Amino acid sequence: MSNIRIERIKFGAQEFDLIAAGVNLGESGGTIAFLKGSASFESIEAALKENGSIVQIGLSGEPDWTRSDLVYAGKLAKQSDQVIGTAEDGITSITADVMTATFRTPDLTETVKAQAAEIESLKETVGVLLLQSLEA
Amino acid sequence: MYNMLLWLYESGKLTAELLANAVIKDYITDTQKQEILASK
Repeated sequence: MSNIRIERIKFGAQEFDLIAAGVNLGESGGTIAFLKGSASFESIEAALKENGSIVQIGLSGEPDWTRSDLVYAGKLAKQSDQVIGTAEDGITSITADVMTATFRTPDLTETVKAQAAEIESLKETVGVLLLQSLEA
Repeated sequence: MYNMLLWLYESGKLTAELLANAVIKDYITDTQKQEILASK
């Protein structure tokens, strides 16, 4: 199994090997399960919290798809020594530490907060222009 | 325009002198100017 090329998942700049059927995303979110590898729990969570794009890298090494509409839901679980496949002898199980991250679409509060900040910024800009106009 | 001038005045960014210019430039009426001045 270790010699077989597998799909990868990229969170921001960090890439991880996906487990079989590891992507379970719908329109409103879901989970992605991937191999922890040598990354620390904290560094994985930090990458997820950046809420950058999620990109699945296919077997060809090219992106299969990307999602920019989801945010990390704050749920990251580690499953130690999960069986991820079977060795060439067909008997021995291959195990690894698997991380499962949960994603969701941004909620209304977050959307409103972002829009309020944008409006405030626009208001400041218009205010400056108006003051300049009055000083002229 | 009125609300923007009110906000600028209440936040201390707009002086009474500049507010008078807003009337001259027809941005607001004199009555509105008085309302803004009374808001502080």
